[in-house]
Amino acid sequence: MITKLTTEQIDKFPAYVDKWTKIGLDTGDCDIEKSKDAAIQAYQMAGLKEPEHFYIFDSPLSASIGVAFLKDIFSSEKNFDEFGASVRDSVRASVGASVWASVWASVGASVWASVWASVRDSVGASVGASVRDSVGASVGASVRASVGDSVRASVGASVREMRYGQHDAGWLSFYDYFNNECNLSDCEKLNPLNDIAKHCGWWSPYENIVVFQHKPDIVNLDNNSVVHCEDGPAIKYRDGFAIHAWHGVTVPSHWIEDTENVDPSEIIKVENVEQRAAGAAIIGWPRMLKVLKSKTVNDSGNSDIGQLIELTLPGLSEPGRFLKAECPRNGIIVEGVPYISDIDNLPIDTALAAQAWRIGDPQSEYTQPTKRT
Amino acid sequence: MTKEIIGAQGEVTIIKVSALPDVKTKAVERTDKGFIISHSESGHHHLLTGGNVMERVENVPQGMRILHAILDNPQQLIQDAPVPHKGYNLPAGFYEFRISREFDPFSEQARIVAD
Repeated sequence: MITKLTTEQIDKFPAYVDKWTKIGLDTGDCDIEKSKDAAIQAYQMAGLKEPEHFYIFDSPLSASIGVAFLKDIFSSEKNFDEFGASVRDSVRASVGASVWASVWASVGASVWASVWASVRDSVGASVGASVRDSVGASVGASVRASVGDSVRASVGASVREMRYGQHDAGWLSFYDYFNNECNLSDCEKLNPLNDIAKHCGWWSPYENIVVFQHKPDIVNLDNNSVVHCEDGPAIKYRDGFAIHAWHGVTVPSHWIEDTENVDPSEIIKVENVEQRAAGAAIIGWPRMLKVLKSKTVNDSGNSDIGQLIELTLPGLSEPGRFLKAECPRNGIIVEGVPYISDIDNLPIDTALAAQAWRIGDPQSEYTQPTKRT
Repeated sequence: MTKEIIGAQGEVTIIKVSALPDVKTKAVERTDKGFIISHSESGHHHLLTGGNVMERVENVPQGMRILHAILDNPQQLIQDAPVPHKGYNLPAGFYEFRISREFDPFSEQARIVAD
């Protein structure tokens, strides 16, 4: 049982963060031959029959649609066998569970936690939580927006059958460290998945069939290692599938690509408050308030409590009332409030009254939190 | 019942209370990192790391969510995001979490703040 890491072992943390972050953020072509070899080894390691057919797509979006079509062709053409069932979970679970158990049995809880926090979480924050999640959310949104009802279920299923390849860098880095620095050789069972991460983007394993994807052509992050680009896509694949993002928040492409012509009323209508804050930051609050014709109803004099403002919005017969306040994380936020509170039936004429309404308090009982994060 | 405002984490207001109200509740979804106090479409949930958590289902103002928690041991309120809101260390006790709402002047309906 390893209960403590040596100084030399701890000093290796940054090297693994660097190695796996580079793998996770790598751009360009999928190395198909090396990916094939690695996939065959992954199937062998999982006790599955070796796959015989391999396909390559440009992005998660084209792969999701392409696989749905392939399934349809396989099922309708007499010369083809049935498209094999997904073995997504088998490929990882059969190997991952035993490696997890082996490492857990071999290291103390503090060593596990230390490597988890210093290596896995560091890699996972940028590669997983930012890039992978942004791609995943955008693929889902694109499918919902662009695919008809009749095939949406099939395309959606093909998305869920994907593994993340290079974007699995977070958890793979954890075991790679133990394999190389602590001689826990059971982790070598993950070498095929390590190789797939190095050589291709997302991928989908099926019985007898493997579908690979190219890596993105562009990945841009900000200083906090979250997806961001001020003048183009933050992530872009070779087929044009792209994600535009502002400091980690995905936004419509035209907000970035055609900033000068964005209608501020479009931004203020967006339901997601993070997106709304991002949109306002992109075009700037001075332009938002100038174009929307704002009027300050009440200024609390405290940026946490904020101001109660009225905005003239297209389509509304009277101005909408909004609370404009400072959020420590998201910057300036602007949220709608009614004219009359449904809690105490009193008019909302001050920023403090607006704050009370947003958490369902009567104005007489509301206390502004002294700490906000 | 007494209440003490502990703070706010984004759209979540944290209130320590002396007792929990006698209201109908339902179970709250849990991930491997904790109970989801406020859901995020992008997966960047606000999470309570442990305890017994339930969501109030009656007497809830339009568009809001109110959750109650019993903490037998200290827990943390965290956000699972690459650049998260800072966390809170919460001592054992009873808590209420109010997820803020906003008013949509077009639909004239209150709705939960989406993060």
